[in-house]
Amino acid sequence: MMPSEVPLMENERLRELLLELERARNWERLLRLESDTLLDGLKVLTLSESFETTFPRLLQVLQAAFEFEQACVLVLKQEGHLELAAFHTGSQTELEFPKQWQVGRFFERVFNGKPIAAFDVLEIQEWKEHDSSFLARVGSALHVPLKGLSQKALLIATHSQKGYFGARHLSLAKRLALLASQALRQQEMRQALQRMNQELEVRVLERTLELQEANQSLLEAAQLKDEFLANMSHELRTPLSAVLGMTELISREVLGPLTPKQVRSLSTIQESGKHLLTLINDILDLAKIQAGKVDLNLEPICLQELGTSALNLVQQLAENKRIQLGFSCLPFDLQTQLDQTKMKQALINLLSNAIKFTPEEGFVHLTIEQKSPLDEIILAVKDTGIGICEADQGRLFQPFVQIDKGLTRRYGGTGLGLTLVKHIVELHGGKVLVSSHPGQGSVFSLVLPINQIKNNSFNQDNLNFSSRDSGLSNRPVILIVDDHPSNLDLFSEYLHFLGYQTLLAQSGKEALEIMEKQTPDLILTDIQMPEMNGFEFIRILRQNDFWRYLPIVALTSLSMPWEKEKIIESGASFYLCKPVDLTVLKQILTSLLKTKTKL
Amino acid sequence: MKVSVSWTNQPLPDLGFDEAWKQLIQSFSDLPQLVFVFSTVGYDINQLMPALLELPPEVQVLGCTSCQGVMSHAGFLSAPTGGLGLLGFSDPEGAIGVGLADLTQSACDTARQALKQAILAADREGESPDLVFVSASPGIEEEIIQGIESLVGKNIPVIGGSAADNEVSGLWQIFSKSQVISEGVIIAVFYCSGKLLFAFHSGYDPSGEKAQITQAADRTLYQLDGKPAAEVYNHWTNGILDSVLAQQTGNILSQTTLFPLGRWVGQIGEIPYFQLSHPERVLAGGALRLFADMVEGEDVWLMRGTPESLIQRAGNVARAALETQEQLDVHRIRGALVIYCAGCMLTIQPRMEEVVLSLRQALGEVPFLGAFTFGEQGCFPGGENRHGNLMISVLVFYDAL
Repeated sequence: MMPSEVPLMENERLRELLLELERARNWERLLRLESDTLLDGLKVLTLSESFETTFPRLLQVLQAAFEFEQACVLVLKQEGHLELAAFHTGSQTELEFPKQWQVGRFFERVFNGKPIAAFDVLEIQEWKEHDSSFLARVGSALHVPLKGLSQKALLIATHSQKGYFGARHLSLAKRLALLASQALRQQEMRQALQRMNQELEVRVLERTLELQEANQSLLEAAQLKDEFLANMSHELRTPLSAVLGMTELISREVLGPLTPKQVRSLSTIQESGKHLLTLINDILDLAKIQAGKVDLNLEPICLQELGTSALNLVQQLAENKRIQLGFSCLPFDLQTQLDQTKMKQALINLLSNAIKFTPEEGFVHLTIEQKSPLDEIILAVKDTGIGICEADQGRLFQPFVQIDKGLTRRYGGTGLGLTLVKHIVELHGGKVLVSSHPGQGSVFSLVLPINQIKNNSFNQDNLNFSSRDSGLSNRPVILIVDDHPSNLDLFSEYLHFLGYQTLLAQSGKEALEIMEKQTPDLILTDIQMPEMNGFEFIRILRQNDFWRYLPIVALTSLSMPWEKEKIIESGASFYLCKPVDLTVLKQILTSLLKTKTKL
Repeated sequence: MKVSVSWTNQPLPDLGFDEAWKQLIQSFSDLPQLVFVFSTVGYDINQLMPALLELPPEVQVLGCTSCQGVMSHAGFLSAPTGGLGLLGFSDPEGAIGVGLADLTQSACDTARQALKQAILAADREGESPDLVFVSASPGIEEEIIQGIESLVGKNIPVIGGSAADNEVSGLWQIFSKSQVISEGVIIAVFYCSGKLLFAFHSGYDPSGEKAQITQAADRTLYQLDGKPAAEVYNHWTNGILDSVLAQQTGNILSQTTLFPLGRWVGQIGEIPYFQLSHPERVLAGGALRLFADMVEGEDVWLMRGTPESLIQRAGNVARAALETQEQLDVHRIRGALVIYCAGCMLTIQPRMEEVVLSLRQALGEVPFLGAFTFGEQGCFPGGENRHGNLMISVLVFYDAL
């Protein structure tokens, strides 16, 4: 019997359902293959660091899904051709892909559309152009367009069998093209990042050059400032020199007797002038230090003597306020290498400050001691003054800063003293420590290393002279050369007071004319003079055999180190900075004239 | 992508074509690139040719004869004086080419020749098409598929139907715009901007009866399990061939439509699928002649179907085609081509409107055209291109986004 139609229909329906189920399973398998490939591909994209490694690895992953034999990636260049960017040859016989490909109608179509399979590459114009030995090993190919951010590329998978690629490959290619396109985008982003880095480097370079130029301008400005300071020093000291010198002459009653009232007035003038000189010196010292133009004149110093000397200089100040000074130095014969002048200046600054800020009948004590085993020397000035709160201690060493403007008004000062102290100590390789509390006094400690400072090259030979008074004989003749009449008057008066004869010249040229007629025993000449300056004048004298050994004392208002060296190099026997301390001048003249007599 | 369908049953073929053509092009802003012409042998194709030749040069034609009529979304169309259906297709962003070759060489070479012509006409030399549509004279279909695959590979889907006449009397014809042939093949290649969805099925199940082919040559089956094939078949079908066997020879197409022989050609998972062969004649000595090749040593199954399954099958195949598209958007379905076995149609001819209805239910309100063929070609679910009998192929034109 034939089966009835109803069971047949049921069978058919059941069969259809089973087929659908199987189709669904097949679909699932395909999707799993796709997702596995995608995951592997994403791993490659994540882990690869460069285009050179990304695409070969990605092609290796895609090979599992497409089952191609070889594959390559061609990147579209602006000139309208494709360049080989990466390839993967999975088989034993490696296929060497051409490096350059022309874009024809076929590739245009691929770029503008979807993946295309070629069942026979020999019929495709873009392929025909290549070497026959290459084409002999390629039957069919799959062409997949890749879209980057701005770049276009082509993924080509090949198989030696003609007609190998079909619907399944094309369907898969459409989905996985996204993965390969992403690799292209990643590469583009890397390139963009590289470009940005390069641009950034260029900008940094440009900025550096700008900064270098700015730095150079600053250096030039600093040099101008130094020159300005030097000139200002000259301009300020010259008249001040005359003021102080004349005042001293008058106060010594060289020019005639004085009334008590005149003496008091002269004393005020002298004090004010000296204060003004101190201010100028401080400013110049600070400028020199900050400009790095200070050389230390290091020599073995007995710290006991240094301390005593400094205290002697502030003794009067202390007595004025009935402040008791104390001093201890342990060990007694403690020595180290220091620039005596500068360190004494630092100590005086500290002691003066301590006295200034200590109420009357207070106590200021200087302690010098060696601290072992650190090989440090500590010079500490302790006072029973007003003290400084902790918040203000950090600002103490900033130039022109006063902790309290009210204090400035009450106690005076430039606000440069501690800054100078700090710089001087640091030049010696040391540091300044402060310990203070309001109302409980302060301790300023200079911590210096022992023998750690390299000796500098300052030539001390030129400074060796005897300060002993040799006495006067035959009233030696001294030629004074200075373009400022007030200075000529000052020195002339003083030298006469000392018992010398003088010749006066307002320029180097005039001096030479005088010397043609009469040779002096010594020449006292200014450096900063118009037309023929002091250097030139001295050089001319030294070139003349007759005047070669004539003692010459140079006077300068410039106190920069290079000026001093230049003066000595020009042939001067000695130099003095204006304003000249007349006592020192007397000693120098006596010494040089005595030496001349021996010669 | 644009698809339109028209038809006619005017008694005069040239007038009929003119009527259908005018109806067809109304739907196109430009001309269609390809026109499928399915005509019954009631029309003298040679009388159609002047009209075809007058078509603009950009219009290509793929024509073949269909058994007794055609079907479209409008219904089953059959007239004793003849009739035809047209399906116009246009895809300006894609390419289409048609090639025809007379059978003057091997069928395989003939197919290659026609395919090369088609690819050349599409201007896509070397480029794998999305799909190959084929219409061949009956009897050479396996070689035709072989020839196609030898050129573009086995991974390109092949779909089509063999030319037919009304009574298996050799009147079938294949024609292009300029040529009509009786023996040969016509091929169209598609390079589409959208997608072509397809399915290939039969409406038959294995009955459980099975035998080994012990003697066969081409499409003649001499013995099953060492016995005359007709006797074995008659036994399986409970004597439906008794009357013919009594006369020793005779046409058996109508008796065997619901009981074809099936060859196991593949399976999806554990579910086998069969290539059907339709016995058409009992030969002297108890041999059976079929519409598909038989291979000695293989097993054949007796398949069985019902009129109901043949009716519903068309819609099911269309549905299966649509299911191949992920996230189907019905608004992108532009139309369909249906290849329906002539034998099946003859069995359920009075109920063909139901077949049309099943297709409309599956495809929706889109135009479609169906031909009734003497052999069907399609791509099985496993991806193999096959020729079979009593099969249904549906090709759906699915537009790109």
